[in-house]
This record gives sequence, structure tokens and C-alpha cells, in this order.
Amino acid sequence: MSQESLLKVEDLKVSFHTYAGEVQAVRGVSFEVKAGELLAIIGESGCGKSVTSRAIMSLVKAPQGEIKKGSKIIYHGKNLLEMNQKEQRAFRGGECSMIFQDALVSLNPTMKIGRQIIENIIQHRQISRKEARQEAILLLEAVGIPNPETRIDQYPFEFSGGMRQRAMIAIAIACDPKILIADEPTTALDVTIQAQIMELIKGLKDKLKTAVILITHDFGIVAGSANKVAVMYAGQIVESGGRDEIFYHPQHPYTLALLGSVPKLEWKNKQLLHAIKGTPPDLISPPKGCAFAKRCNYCMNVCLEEMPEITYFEAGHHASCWLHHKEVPAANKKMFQDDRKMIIVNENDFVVDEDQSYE
Amino acid sequence: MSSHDILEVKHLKKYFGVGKHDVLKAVDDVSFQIKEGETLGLVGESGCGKTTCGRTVVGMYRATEGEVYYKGQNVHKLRGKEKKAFNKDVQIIFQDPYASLDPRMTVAEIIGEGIEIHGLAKTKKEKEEKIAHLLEIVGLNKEHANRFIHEFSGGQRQRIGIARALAVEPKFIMCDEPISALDVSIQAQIANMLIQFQNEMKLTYLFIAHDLAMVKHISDRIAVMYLGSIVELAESENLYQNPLHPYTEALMSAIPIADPKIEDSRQRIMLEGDVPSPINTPPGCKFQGRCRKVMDKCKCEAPKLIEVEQGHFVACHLYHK
Repeated sequence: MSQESLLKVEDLKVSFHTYAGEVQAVRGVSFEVKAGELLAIIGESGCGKSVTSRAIMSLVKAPQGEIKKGSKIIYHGKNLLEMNQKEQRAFRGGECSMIFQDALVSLNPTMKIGRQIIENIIQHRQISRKEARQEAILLLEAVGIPNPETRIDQYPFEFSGGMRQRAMIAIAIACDPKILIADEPTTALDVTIQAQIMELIKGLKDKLKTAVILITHDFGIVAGSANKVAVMYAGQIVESGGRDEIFYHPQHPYTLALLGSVPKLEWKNKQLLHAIKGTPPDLISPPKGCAFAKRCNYCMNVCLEEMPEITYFEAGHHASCWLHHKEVPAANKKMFQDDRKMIIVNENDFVVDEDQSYE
Repeated sequence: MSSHDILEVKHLKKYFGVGKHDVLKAVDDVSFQIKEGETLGLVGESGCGKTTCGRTVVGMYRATEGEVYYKGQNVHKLRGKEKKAFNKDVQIIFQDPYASLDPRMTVAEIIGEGIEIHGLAKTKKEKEEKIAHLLEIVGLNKEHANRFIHEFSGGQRQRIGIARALAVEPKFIMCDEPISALDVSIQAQIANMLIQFQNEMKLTYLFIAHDLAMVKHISDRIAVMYLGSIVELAESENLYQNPLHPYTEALMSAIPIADPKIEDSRQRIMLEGDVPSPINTPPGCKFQGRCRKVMDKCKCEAPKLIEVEQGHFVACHLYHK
């Protein structure tokens, strides 16, 4: 894929000022998405994945929130962070829109669904209210809501959870955005409804060539939908790469540990899971070295002292871990590889020249 | 009831009145047994009545109809000493570790309450030792005993909830979505702990959850609920390999699997629409509106749960001869 990237985030740093001190929620995140591509950002709660997406939508508000100097979010060669209010407003909702986790909280309970969709259309396009209404009905139909003509005049409370999420997707895609950010779109939903919503999002990506940034904590959803995956931990991307690389050939101990803590269907019943010990660090005073060091099974002295460098592997796959440094003893590397063989049962299906990846 | 069964549920019904005329049939004629030392998983979508079922089984709700027998005694008829003994034997781990622990009590008070009520420690020192031991086995330390709940993270709170349940040396624990509110890495810690304690203390679990991969991992047998009824009950491996009920089939195919190759190759059975309201359900099979194999018979007659293979029960007209 030599296609140019649509959105590029460079060294994004976001902090929140609280009574307890400055919380460094995002600490230098860089990634890019291309049109028609689905990038999944995966991580535990508090790792900064939602804050990253909010920063793209300029929803991080002063005075508590602060996007640090030097952060860049580049869309069509323009830095979003330097745009004025008017340009930002045109970008938000028009070029880029967002689906939130909790549809009941995100929709306005006092406005009819139709009006909320029409509002977005009129804001960004020069058409009459009547035309916009026709458009809204088509949108509701497109996202799979039955009887859109009657549903359009109903309030959010009359919709079920899955339908609210669909209505929110209808609002998000009303202006054919180039980028769609989905922040845990299915977390509050049941599995059968979750499958429906994910199909809908995948369909948008394929049909309209929308770039999708999917924020989630569920590896199952990532496996079924993503092209690229970025794993976040304590405000940083620790590993990023193509979907298959991340699933069958993870290079960061945290990615491996996350994969190991999800029960696999072929595993024996009641076999102990590979749980990660401890809890994530406090981001008010983040650790000096690697943020994962304290919970890592392969921790070395250097990990506690210094931030690891980024090691690049095959096409677009990179991880920040000292384990891949050339001076690290082979025994440590082997330990990690052995564990990986144990956790990822069908690793052999995915063949990569092992020696090359450690160059 | 065979001698191995610790709990038997017979035609249990729990209805709630809604408004003047409507009834919400949260649990509608549910029967199952749990053997000593086994884990029965209870799965279903939200609103299918799995929590209500669990709560009625342990006697938190009064049953509208039907009986629950714990070691041969009718749970809903217990009084006095027998009731107290039952309450000691049967404990609950709740879903929300934020709401189920009293914020005005210290950890030691929360864990010690049950020990005191059931007279499990003779002296104050013995009680303190017990609390320290419990904290240790759930992965906390005894310095935590004098702290309040707000000082703990979600995972730690769930550990305290587990320590509280274990404090009275129970035989049977109803786990009501004990891990769904936690982060992935913490979920594995808690699941491991539950598995370990079961082996060490010979516990029996009724494990309620909607995370099917985790339920399969933890349970020996699984019951699938839909709108208040059990639609299928089988050994967990069997249920995954060979789901019989159309709803179970769809549910299994909807679980995301953390393996790209499987995800790419498998065929999803998409269920249309949402779970209908459990208020005033139409006659016949409850799944008829969303079922892709619906027949005329499904619209007038509700299917009964029958055994089609050894230990594999299903409630669907497709399997009635």
C-alpha cells in the first residue's frame, strides 16, 4: 500500500491538570491512517486511547486539558491544532466524525432523532430542511432501522440500545466523513447486537472508503475487523503493526500478555490464564523507564532506568521494548519467544524469518 | 435429585408486576441441577433474566412459583437456624464492586462481619488472623485491612468482595458477572483466582456472565437463557462444538474470537432486531420473532426442554419427534 495517509498524528501529548497534579494521559503518540483502512487502538481503561481520539476531534478543552506544544495532527497537509475555530468546526462532523460509547448519554434526550441528524446535515451542507429530512430517512434506513419514516420523529428513549447506536452512526455518517472515529462503539451492547454494529462499520469502510479509527479493549473485535492495530499502554503506543503480525507475532511483552489473558476456545477448561500481575502505573508520576517494566516477566535493569527505543520489524510493524536491543542476551530473547510459542498456539501458521526480525 | 446434586431448581418462576395489569416474566419455568464441585455457567443477553434467576435461587427474591432445593431442603421455606446455616453455606459475588461494598466500613469490618455473625472465630485475635489470611489468599496484604473501599481500584475491590464471600467458609457461590466490570488483564487474575479456590476448597459455582469465552473457560456445564427460559443446557465443550438451538447457534457465531484467521473464515449467523420486551410475551416459543428456522408450530406452542443426547438439553420444536 503506497497510498498516502489521510490522517497523521505525530508525537501527540495530552495532559490534564487536576488537584492531585498533572495527569499525563497521552505521552507522545504517533500513528497514521489511510482511506479505507481500519486502525484499531487497543488498551486497558486509562491508557489514553479515548483521550487520543478526543484530541483529534479537538474535544480536549482548556483549562483542565492541555495539548502539549510539538504535538501535530495532520490532515491533508494541515495541522489541525493550528486551525481556527471555524475551520475546526468544518472539519469536525464534516470531514471527521465520532461514534461514542454510550449512545444514551451522547444523544440529546430532549430532541427527536430526526432533528439531531438534520442538524448535522444543515450545518455542513447547503440544502433545505426538507431535503435534509429526506436524507435523514435514507440514512436511518441505511443503518438498518426499520420504519424510518416513523422512527425519525421519535425520541432517543423510545429506541433500544442497539438502535440508539445505529442512530448515532447515522448522525456520524450524515456528511460522508473521510474519517470515522468509533470509541468503544459496542461495549455497552450485547453480543448479537455487537455483531450487527460491527458489520455496519465494516460495510462503511469498504463501501465509502472511510478511514476508521476503532478504539476498543476487545481483541475479538479487533481480529474480526482491523487492518492495523496499535497497542496502547500508559499513554504510549507500545506496539503497532498489521493485524496478523500483532496477533501471531507480537513483539512486545504487553501485547503478548494481553493475548494470553483472553481465554481461547481451544484451551482446556479451567486451565489457568496467563494473567498480568499488578496494575497499570499512575500517570501523575509515570515511571522513568518503560511503563510496563513493573508488570513484565522479562524485565531487565535497563527497563527501569530508561525509556525503550522503537525497534522496527517487517512492514510497518514496530515495538518499544528493550528486549529487541542487540546487546540483550540471547537467553532473555529466547524466554520471550518460548512463551510466545506457548500462548499463540498457531504461531507457525504465520511464517516470518525469525533471525531477520531481530536485526 | 441424585446424591451428587447440591442444588436443584424445579419449575422456578419469578414474575414482577409492572403497572396495573402487566407482568414481567423475568424467570419463566426454569429447572436445572448443580452437582457438588461443579460450575454451571448461565449465559444470555442483558434482560434475559439470568441475574433474577441467580438471585431467586439463593433466596434473595421470593419465588412466584416453583422450588429450589439446597441439599434437599427447600430454600424458600427455611427459617431460623436452618436459614442461618444456609446463608453461611451460600454466598454471592456481585458484579459491581463499587456498589456492593459499604463505603463507610473498613475492609476488616466488611470481611469480619460474616465471621462474627456465624461465630467462626472465638477470639478477636483469631478473627484478625482469619482476615489477614483471607486478604493474603486474594492477593492483598494485611495492611489493607484498615482502609476504606474508596482507596482501592476496581480489581482490588472485587478481590475484597471475594474475600468477604470466602470468609464464612461457603460451599456454594453465586457469581453474578464477577469479572465483566474489570479490565482484560485484571479479568484473567480474578478468573484464575476463582478457578484456584474451587480446586482448593471444593466450591460449587453458579457462574452468571455474558462473556461467552470466559464462561466456557470456567464452566463445566452451560445453560443458555433467552427471555426468562433456558433454551439449551449442555456440557460446555459440547455446547460450543454442537449448538442445537437456533439462538445458541447465533450466539456462538456472534462471539468475537481473538484470532484473525478464524474471524476471516467463519460464517456469521446474524440475528435480526433486538431482544423483545419480556412484558406480556406472545404464546409459543419466545425466540420465534428472530428465529431463522421458525415453523407454524412455534407460534402456538412453547417447546419444552428435552434431553436429546446424554446430558444435552434443548427447548426447540426442531428436535421434538
